[in-house]
Amino acid sequence: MKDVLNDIKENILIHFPPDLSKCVNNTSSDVLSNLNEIRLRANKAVTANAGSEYTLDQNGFSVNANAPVMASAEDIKTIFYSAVRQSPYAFEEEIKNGYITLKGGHRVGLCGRAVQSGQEIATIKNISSLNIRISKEILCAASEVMPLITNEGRILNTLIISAPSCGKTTVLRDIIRRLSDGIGCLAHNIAVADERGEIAACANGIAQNDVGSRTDIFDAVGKAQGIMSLIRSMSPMVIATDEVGTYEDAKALRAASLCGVKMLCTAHAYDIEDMLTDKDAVKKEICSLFERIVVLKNTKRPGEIKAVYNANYERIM
Amino acid sequence: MKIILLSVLFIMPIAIGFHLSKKTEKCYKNLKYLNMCLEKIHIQITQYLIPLGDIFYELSKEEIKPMDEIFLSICKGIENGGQTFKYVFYSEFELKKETLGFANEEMDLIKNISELMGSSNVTGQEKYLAGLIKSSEKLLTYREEQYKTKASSYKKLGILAGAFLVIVFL
Repeated sequence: MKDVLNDIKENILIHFPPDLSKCVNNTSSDVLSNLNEIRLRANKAVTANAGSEYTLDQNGFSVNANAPVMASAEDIKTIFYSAVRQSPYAFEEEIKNGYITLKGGHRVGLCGRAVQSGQEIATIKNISSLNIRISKEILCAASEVMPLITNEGRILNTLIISAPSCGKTTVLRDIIRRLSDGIGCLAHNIAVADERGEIAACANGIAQNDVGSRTDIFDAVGKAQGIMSLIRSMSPMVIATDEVGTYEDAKALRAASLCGVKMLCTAHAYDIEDMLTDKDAVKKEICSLFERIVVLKNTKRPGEIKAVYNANYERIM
Repeated sequence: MKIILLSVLFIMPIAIGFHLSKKTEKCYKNLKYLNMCLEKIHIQITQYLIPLGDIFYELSKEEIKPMDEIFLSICKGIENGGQTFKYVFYSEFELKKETLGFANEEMDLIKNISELMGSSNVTGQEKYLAGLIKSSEKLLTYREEQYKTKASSYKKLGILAGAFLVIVFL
């Protein structure tokens, strides 16, 4: 597991103006190491979430802040420009998508004035709010899942489903790492189509999360496009991607399956019934491509299995 | 004693003349290099979308003194975060102003560069950098003329002044 405290100081607070950074640094290490996110809004108090809501004052984040520290518009501008290495032109795609990935895999969500070009957001200007989400890599998240999704050391086509924030991506990332490094199974060449950069969290093209030594990452690419391109270019044994759910995804996954590539995906759903009773039948079609469907529990600990189904949707655990 | 005094009187104006000539030369050469760097930066930003930190790091590797040190410090300033580019860029040049031989006109150009470099999208940078290169070239032409005429004049004047002082004291 990462040293969260150092990670926050080296990769997040480095972007803060000295005054704000000093205040945050005064926070007790217990609170700091449990931080999930820091929110900055122009001319509003700086807040954080570490299980419960905290507000920043001169002594750091606390539940009952005496004199809350306000983030000025200038502070937000400084953090934004520092996060994009003073080069917003080089981060146009990320800004358009509303987030920037920092070293360490932390993500800065952006909000401000949208500049639209037709139906699409061309860019965001006058950034007024930042939501810094602290990336916490959990390297044992898939230990429970692994024996159920491998057969004689080889991966089976696996779909992980759960409600939001139950650790799908965390589990997927750990499975990728284990398969790539051959931990408890044969080592596989893996290609990741990381559309939203949540799996590998690439910053300047380098994966900030440990996704193993035999993993190729196609960052910020559409899933369907990425899968097809990766099959042609990288000849992977396994293709992994996050949050599949459209016809295009299903089509690309089917093509991958026909090429003999194993698939490792996640999807949003509360249970397998959710997937099989989908009105558009897309999710059902997606399910039909997998040999294992792992449903995660709705708990705070990522990777807790609720149920595992085989290709015939029979519960095997 | 008299010979020593005369020698000092002869050498001092020459030294001042050579110093002024060297300063003009330094200013011209460093401005010429800065202008070349601006053109490189323009291409790297608008064609390749390379972040400023990487651009300045690459420029620092060209080892053109004292610019390489300035560029490396700018790169570190950007990567260390928490400060504006305007501050990082301008303060590094301000620190080495004397070594570079830069006068107020050059520092105004530096200020202009620091104001908006990197701060907009590619289209904005394209226009902005083209404008900067133009004003840098204009200043460079002026400094080139100065260098060609003044640099040798300072040396000649120094020698003449030295000789004049010696003659007067003799």
